[in-house]
Amino acid sequence: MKKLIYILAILLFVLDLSAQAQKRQLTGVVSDATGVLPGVTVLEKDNPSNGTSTDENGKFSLNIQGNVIVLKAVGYVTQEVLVQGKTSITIKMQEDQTMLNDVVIVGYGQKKKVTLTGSVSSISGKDIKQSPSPSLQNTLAGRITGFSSQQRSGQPGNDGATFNIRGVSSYTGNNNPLIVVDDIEFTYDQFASLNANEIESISILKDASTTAIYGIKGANGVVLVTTVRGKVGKPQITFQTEYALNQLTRRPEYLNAYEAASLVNEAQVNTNTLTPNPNFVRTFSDADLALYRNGNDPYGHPDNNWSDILLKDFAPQLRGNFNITGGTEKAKYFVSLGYLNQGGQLKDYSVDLNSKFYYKRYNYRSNIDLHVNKDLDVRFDLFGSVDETNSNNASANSIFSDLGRSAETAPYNYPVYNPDGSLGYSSWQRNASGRNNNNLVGRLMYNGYFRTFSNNINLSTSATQKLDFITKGLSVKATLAYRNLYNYSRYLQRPTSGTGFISYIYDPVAGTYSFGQRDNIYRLSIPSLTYGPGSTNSALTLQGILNYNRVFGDHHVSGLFLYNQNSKKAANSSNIDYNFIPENFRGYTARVNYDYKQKYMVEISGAYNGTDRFSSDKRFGFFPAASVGWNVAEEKLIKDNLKFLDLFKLRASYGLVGVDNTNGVYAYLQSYAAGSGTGLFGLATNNGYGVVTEGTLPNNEVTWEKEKKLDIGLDIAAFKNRLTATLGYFNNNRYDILTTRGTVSAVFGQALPNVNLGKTNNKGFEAEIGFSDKVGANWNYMIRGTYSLAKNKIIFMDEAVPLYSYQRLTGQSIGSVLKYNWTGEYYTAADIADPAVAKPTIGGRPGDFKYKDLNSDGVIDASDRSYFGNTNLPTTTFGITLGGGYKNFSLTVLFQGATNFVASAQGAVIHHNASNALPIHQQHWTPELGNSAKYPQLYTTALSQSPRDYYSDFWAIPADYIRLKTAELSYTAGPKLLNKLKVKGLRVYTSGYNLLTWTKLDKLYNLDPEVLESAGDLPYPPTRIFNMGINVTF
Amino acid sequence: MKRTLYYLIIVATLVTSSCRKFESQPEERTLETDVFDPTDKVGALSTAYLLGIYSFLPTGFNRIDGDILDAATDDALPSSNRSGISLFTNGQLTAANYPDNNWSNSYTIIRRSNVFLNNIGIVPIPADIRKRQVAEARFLRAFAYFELLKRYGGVPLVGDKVFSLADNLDLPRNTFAECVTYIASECDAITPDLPNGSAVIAAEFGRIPSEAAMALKCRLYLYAASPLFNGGGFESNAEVKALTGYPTADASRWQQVITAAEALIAKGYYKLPTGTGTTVYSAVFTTKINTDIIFSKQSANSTTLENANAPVGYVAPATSNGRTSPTQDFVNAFTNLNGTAFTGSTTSAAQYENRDPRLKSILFYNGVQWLGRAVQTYEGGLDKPNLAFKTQTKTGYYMRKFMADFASSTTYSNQSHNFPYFRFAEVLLNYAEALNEVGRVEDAVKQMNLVRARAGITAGTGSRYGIRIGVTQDELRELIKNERRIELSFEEHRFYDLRRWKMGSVLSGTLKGVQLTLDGTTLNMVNQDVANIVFQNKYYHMPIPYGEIIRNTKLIQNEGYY
Repeated sequence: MKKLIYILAILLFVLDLSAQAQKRQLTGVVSDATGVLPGVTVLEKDNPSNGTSTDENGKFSLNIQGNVIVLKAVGYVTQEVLVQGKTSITIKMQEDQTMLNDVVIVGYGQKKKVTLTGSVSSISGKDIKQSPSPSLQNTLAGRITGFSSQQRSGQPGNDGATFNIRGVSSYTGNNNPLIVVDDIEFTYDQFASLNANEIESISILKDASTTAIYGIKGANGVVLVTTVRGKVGKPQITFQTEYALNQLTRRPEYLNAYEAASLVNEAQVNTNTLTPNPNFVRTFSDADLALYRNGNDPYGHPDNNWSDILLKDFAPQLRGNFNITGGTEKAKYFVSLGYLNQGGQLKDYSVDLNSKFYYKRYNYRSNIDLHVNKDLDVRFDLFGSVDETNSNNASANSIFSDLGRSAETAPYNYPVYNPDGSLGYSSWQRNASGRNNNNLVGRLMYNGYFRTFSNNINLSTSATQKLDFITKGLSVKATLAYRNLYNYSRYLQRPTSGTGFISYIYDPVAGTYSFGQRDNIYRLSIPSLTYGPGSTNSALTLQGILNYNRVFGDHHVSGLFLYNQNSKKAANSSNIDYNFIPENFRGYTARVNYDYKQKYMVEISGAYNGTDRFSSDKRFGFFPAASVGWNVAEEKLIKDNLKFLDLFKLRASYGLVGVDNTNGVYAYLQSYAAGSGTGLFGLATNNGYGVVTEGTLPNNEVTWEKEKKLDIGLDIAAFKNRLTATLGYFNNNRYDILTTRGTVSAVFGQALPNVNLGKTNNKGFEAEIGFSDKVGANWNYMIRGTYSLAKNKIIFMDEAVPLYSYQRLTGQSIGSVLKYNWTGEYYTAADIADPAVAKPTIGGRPGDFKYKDLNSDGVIDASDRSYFGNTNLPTTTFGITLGGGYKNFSLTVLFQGATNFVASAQGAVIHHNASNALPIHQQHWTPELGNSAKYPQLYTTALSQSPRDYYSDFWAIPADYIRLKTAELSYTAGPKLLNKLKVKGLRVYTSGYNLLTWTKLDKLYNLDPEVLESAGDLPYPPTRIFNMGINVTF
Repeated sequence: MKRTLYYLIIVATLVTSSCRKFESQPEERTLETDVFDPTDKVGALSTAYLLGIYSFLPTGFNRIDGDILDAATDDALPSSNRSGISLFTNGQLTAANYPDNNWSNSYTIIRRSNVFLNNIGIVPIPADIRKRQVAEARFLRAFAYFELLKRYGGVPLVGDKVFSLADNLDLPRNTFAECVTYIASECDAITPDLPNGSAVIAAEFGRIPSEAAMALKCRLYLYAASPLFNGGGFESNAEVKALTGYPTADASRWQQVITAAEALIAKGYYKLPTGTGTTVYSAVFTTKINTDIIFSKQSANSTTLENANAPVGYVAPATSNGRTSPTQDFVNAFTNLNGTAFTGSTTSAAQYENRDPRLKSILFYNGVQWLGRAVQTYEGGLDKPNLAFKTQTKTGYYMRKFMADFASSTTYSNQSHNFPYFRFAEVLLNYAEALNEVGRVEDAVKQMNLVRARAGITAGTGSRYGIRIGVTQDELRELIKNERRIELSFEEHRFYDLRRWKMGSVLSGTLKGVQLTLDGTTLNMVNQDVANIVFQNKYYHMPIPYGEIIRNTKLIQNEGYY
């Protein structure tokens, strides 16, 4: 099928070429004030289907019959040039200082920037490509307002950040923006794996006037991606290849064996002082410590730096891309193939089964535009990706989790290799509880892999028919699209329990070997294969759009009417009853725009749509929005007096948008869950009887969450558009949030259904200011800053009134966690002896944290926790882009940051009882240090120091950061060099990602600041990327 | 051109109209009408629904943060330094942290039972099966109420009501007396409808026999007649006192225990299995079907219990965690082999000889043979290695009860671990206690001695099993309490028995263990204090969960808690 479509497309294209008639040839060079201009569209006026575009040297060649050609380029004034009798011509394009023709992509169409009344941020594909991160969302942070993201992981294939638009509004449902690629809804995985080279632009739709047309899907904002389409001209072939080195932004660093063992001893001694046991013996004797320190007994007293044993300094990343674009006005094509191979940070110890981390991806795209006749256009897009993700089976959790745990990777645990080359182990490791995993390097050598594959195929076709015969400016478009994401997995593994391979305990005194982690294992086990058949996630979308766009003198009227239906099918892991039941969506959307002289604008839009996840009389909802704009700069008074002002547009919008947060289940239906567990009766060990239990109660009234969005904005352009600014204020009121009622007594006896009752408010401010200019002929520079603030608050959630008002979640930000209030002090021995000092229920010890006794009952317990401080979601994000160019060189750097949020970790990441010994542990409390200590006293049990059970603001610290997010230095070859090399274009560049980071989190943690709150296991840290690339066009 | 348009319109119409019908809802759901199906003559799904309710019964054993409830008494303490079970004994128990909150679970059982009772009528199953199933559901409901009653005192009684979201759930608590009356009347009503233990077929073992309802009533009356609930509450507020017990004492309540016990015993099927001594006692807990077990929580054979509680030196098939450390105080409670109180030295290994044979079934002490080696609880021994990061006994003892013998094997294997809710031995001891309270001291001695005889205590002259002739009521009361402590150890009795006897003082003070040090080949044993525990009067009743108190404004909290 796929092949057939290709053949058809190519046939059409070839036919079209041969149909060209005899004409005379015109050649020319197009330039602007600074030099030659590539990419200018050149058309014959009388026959607009005959056209080309200029090459990298600004040159074009066109066979024409008429005498007038038209030249168009974004950002330039369109020119008509008389070429009667000429065979070659030089043309200078004028920059369009008014931006009148700049367009932005909005839902189901595009709008001129000057008449836009909604709130949209956009970014071009060119800017996106400056970032070498393979996940698309990672390239957006800091560049546009209203978009904030947190990259939690750097694992190849899994390094996409979580993101949201203008903060979050729902405290129970998802806050994921809707993703739309070329008007078709996409999944998050599909979005992350899009190839940046295929992207023309990304728009972020933020307010009601731009999102209401998506009805029940738009309330979390919309990410709109437009892909590259073919350009008129000779085939242009572009090769791009990039080689990058990946490095962890934060490399885990731990103390050495001597230091770690000393801290273990110290903790034991401290614990024993509390209730002295005369028979107490430290784990490490002074002799042991001496051997760890001097390294004289590498087998009996090893000193492993597990970070160095496991981690590489750099991991490679390779990207390649191949594009062909070209065509005529009749048929245009853009064909792209991309390849990505992202390597992992783990050293490769694999013997027979590959335990490397890697991610391989192939992207393909073929966008074809056919101008069938003067009224009918057809688009045919086929695209997708195939990828493969590999990770090891060395650990039950993850290898990074093991790297953090002292139970797995204490520096003194065992020699990795014995003198005879066999895998080492130690009786110490074998006998301690919770430490019964085999040699970690051995596990990497033999334990095999998890490998998942996915295959994403999308087909999108559309036809646009002009209906000028009915009325001028009317057209109809029909779109049919199918997307299909299928994944499956293949695991080839030996058991993690340690029975897979042999290790030996070497006794350096006797020189003998004995069994290591397991007795009676004499050989490598046979690996077992697990195949996960995976599942399909597919959707069929059908759209019909009636478009109207006409200018009547000073009046410009446009509008659209859309019918949209979509049917999704996917596996449902949380409720198998819902596997592959189609989730049907259907809706109508209408939009009307009017502007007078591009000075006063009005837009009214609305959607009437619904989904069958609600009961039949609750399915459809109406979501209207209205917006107005006033371009003050066009007023005569301003135009005459403030001539430097190009644009001064006030705009406002208000409307209602929804979001369907039922996760695809039928919340209005109840079902009895059959077979969930078996009753055990009788004698046999598993004499099972089927059981049926009552499922969660239904809520017939369940409906979507709704949000009233107010947006007020100001767009400014001045000094011939060198200075641009956009300011925005928003106030979103989300209501009908699906919430489990908190005031119903458990006497009810059954899980309560979600009901639409929650309310939140989310408001904020955004600013984007840019300035760009040229200095002389050779220098140019630009600076752009973005600032976004979004603060949310829970207004109502049916919360039972707590005994202490400081434990009330209502009124707090979404994601708030109850924490103990650390006074900044530690208990002294005198405090412990003093009954008047409030102490934790599980006992306080000298050097433990002292918390505030909020209810003044003399005891520190769960009632002394309160909601305070920031959440893990930054309220403020910002970015500063600096760019400069000199002749063919250009440099762009982006600093990105976030403030007003906290991050924390627990357990094996930070706490000395579970984590490997960290330098911060050496700065623990002592009676001498007192309150200037950086860490509490070391004991063998955590008690009230536990970051999990006694979560406090000692652990949750500000993670404000600023980082050099991306930087790119490039050289674009000039015409002379290109002629010499016989290529049309050449660009050499080097770029970087996450290059430098400054963060307040360093005070306690050696972690990337975008880490999840209370991470209990060391995450795979995000990576820093150093990239080099070359881009050649033929 | 126009033609193209028409084509487009036709195609668009076809495509949209063909997709017009939404699939209205998933048809493969199991609905209430499928479960309670008026055409299903065997009641396949309605029976499955009933059996599903059983899975909400409390699990027993190490169910509280990995520890057994008895680790909150003077019998044992948790080996782990940080376990929720310590909240009961460190004076820090609050409504917010109460770790044995069975509130929501119990009301889940009650709701499900009510759904069953309200709907089973339409299922055309044979009348006798329906009668039995209805009785089972009512038993499960009554049992859930008793679980609430023993923790909190009176709780809201909801009858047969299945709540809907529109109902007012701000229900006040019923009084203790009302709850006792309700549970007792339910037991009486269902007793004739349930099959006798002898009639429950082996494949259905674990379903409720008639005697379980009688045993529940017997225990209910025992609690109701006991000092704490029988007018002896500490509450200063009369209203709260009526919620947590009878406001006034009435000694005749003991008679109800006697009647209930006699009715059960008269049925004849449940009795102490034949044989005496350690092995016979152990077998009660590892043999799924035996006549001592009236009703128990069913579970698949496993090593879960051994993993949690076996001495830490046994690593096969998985690490043993030795979570429970029985105390020297508990060891001292075991009588001599002849039934007289132990008064010997507690610092010598000789103390374990010539004692109540149940000692060897209930505890591990240093030197006991298990899995092919002797248990080593001396300092540095395999089972007390004093390793960093490792949980181990704090008292020199480990719990052995419920574990199989495994004398001949080197690794433990899957074993039956049904947690007993009701045993015949308990009924005998309830009976003995009540007989003694009403003054029938010698009758009580006779009943208690049945239990002592099975334990393997030597009969002695006149078959007195160590009880002196002319024993007084007060003396015998203490002996019965001690007998319950041993016989029903680690079965979640001691925690509530101490409370109903108003013996909170026992839960305050120092608990003792032994410390053994190996000096060459000789072991030195000393007693050492291992834990300080505290008790306040408010802990006689458990706090109503904080989450419930703030949700339901009509609920009155037990005295002393917020």
